[in-house]
Amino acid sequence: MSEKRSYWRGVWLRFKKRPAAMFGLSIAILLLLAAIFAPFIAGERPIVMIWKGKIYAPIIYEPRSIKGLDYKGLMDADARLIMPPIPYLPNTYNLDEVLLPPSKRHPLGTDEQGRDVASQVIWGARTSLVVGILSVFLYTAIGLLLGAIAGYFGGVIDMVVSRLIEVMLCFPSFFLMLALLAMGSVSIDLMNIHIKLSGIHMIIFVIGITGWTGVARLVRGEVLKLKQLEYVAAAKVAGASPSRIIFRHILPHAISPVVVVATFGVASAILAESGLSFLGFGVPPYVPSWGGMLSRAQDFMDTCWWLVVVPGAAIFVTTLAYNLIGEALRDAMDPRLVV
Amino acid sequence: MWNYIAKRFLLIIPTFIGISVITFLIIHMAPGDPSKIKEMGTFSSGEKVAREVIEETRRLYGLDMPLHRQYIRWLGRIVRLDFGESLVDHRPVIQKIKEALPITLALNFASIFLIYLISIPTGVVSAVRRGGIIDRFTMLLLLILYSLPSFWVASMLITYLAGGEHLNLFPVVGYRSLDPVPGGWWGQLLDIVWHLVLPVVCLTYGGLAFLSRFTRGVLLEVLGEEYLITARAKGIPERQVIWRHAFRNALVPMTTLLGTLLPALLGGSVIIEQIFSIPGMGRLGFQSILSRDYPTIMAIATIQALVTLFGLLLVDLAYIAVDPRIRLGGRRDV
Repeated sequence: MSEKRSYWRGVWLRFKKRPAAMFGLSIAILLLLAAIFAPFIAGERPIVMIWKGKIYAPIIYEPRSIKGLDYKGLMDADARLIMPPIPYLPNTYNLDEVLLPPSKRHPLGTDEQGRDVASQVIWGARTSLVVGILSVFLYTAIGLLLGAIAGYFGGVIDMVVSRLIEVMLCFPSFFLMLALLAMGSVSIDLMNIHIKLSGIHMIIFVIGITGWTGVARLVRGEVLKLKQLEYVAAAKVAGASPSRIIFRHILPHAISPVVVVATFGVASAILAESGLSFLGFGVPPYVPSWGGMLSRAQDFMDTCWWLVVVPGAAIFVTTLAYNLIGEALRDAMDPRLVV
Repeated sequence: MWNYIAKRFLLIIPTFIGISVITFLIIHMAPGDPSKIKEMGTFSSGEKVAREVIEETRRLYGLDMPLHRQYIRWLGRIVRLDFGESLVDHRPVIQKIKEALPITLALNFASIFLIYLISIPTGVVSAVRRGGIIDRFTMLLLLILYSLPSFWVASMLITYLAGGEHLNLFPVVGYRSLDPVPGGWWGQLLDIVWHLVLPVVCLTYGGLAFLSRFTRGVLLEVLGEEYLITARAKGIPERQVIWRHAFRNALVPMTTLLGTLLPALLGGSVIIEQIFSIPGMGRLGFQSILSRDYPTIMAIATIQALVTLFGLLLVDLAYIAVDPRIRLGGRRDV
């Protein structure tokens, strides 16, 4: 236990020595906070409000007495309220305020339907991070499982898994994702469980099932190496079951390269999601997403720079943050590792 | 060695079957009954196309037959490279691919050549000065480039360097001018190059990070070898030690990397070709997905998968050629 702790402590000590890595980490944390607290940053319900002598927090709970109140109208009246810093929802359109450049009212301007760009960027962070992180979780799980059983059991199982990896590698992944997404939705029937995937879940599913080969190959290789070590033989002699050996004795030692691959994976998944949304195959139009914003900006590129620069910069900064973390982790986890 | 080669060739068979099964299944999951098509009508232009899709697919794949018979039929068609007619313009699919492929190949050869041309010296210099300011700066710069979304860069380049609102240095769309250009053969070539500058830039900058880092890593590994100490001890100049003794040995993994680049080389970038309206494989694929042209989608996926399979095989054979551990009878884990 203590040895394990000192390994991760060493990783952290080496990690925090790099300014670029710490920069990436702080951006990633800020983005995560923005995604979690999006309603507090950009929304149309007050965070705190004093009305008729009572205190409310409409953002969390709207009792019947204040439901349906026009908060914007209250702003000038004698009620006291604290609105989120950006008092607009991403989908609220206002045709009197189309294509406005950044101003005090709209810090990042408005789009062709008068929707606030800053609000769309904040809520878009939620979409990007949910897709990026969940799809990587999905494919890391698939890759860990398949890689581990292939590496540990060898023989026919390894043969089948390795062929499966090779088949997946042969398909151009972005094209495959597009083709799968073009089907619109997928129904999965597993015994008694019936799941119908569409919209944002479909994207997560598609990135997940096309992306696992890298993790699987990596884990398979690590397991092949580790299973020959003596302590694994000792565990076998002691009567440990294969699943116990794999999950308790082998995988914990193979986890560091997987963490690195997964960190880079989040960056590529976010790029993939925004690319797909850019082409109109990503999240549905009513879900705010950076790729979708860029796609709609195509018609106003010449005149409205903020519509192009803002969402693109958001994608870039997020991807860069995860890539910086991934690179620093790679160096910090194994100082001897050179690639 | 022959044992290994034979085994390697035999392993193609299950992978090939896997590829054909997946493409076959995607065809099958494709809308078969009219109600489903109506549901996803956003992309098909009305009922007429939808019915055509069904009839054409039914006729092509004999959907009334039992599943295994259908699959064997499909396999027979793949082997003969017979992918049927496009549902959009009723031309043979293979013809459409023949037109799109050279354009994508030209685009991607140019960008891969540039990637190698820039990345190799960068990687070598970084490895030699490991940890120094140059190394850290270039690696950071390349990571920044790698993180830039290509469709954003492409949009910005078009807005600011082409089209005329700001600067009018490059053409906005296509891979050549529609009107005849003066200057004969040379003029045409220049015209194509002029059209491809921006797309090639977009395809190149992101790949630099990967290959530079790969070169750097491989070279660092080689730089730790004892034969380099020997070379230095003999008094060979440092430049020669790096390029002749170290770099040559680092070349092997870098050449084999080309095999894994094959799918990208053939497939073309959907996004870049779409933004610049270049009629290559990526755009053809995207347009077929938009118009639900299943024969074309399947043909592109299958051909690319098969070529990649072939590329992976070449990589393994190249390993045999250069790695004496396999050549002289040892076994390599496949």
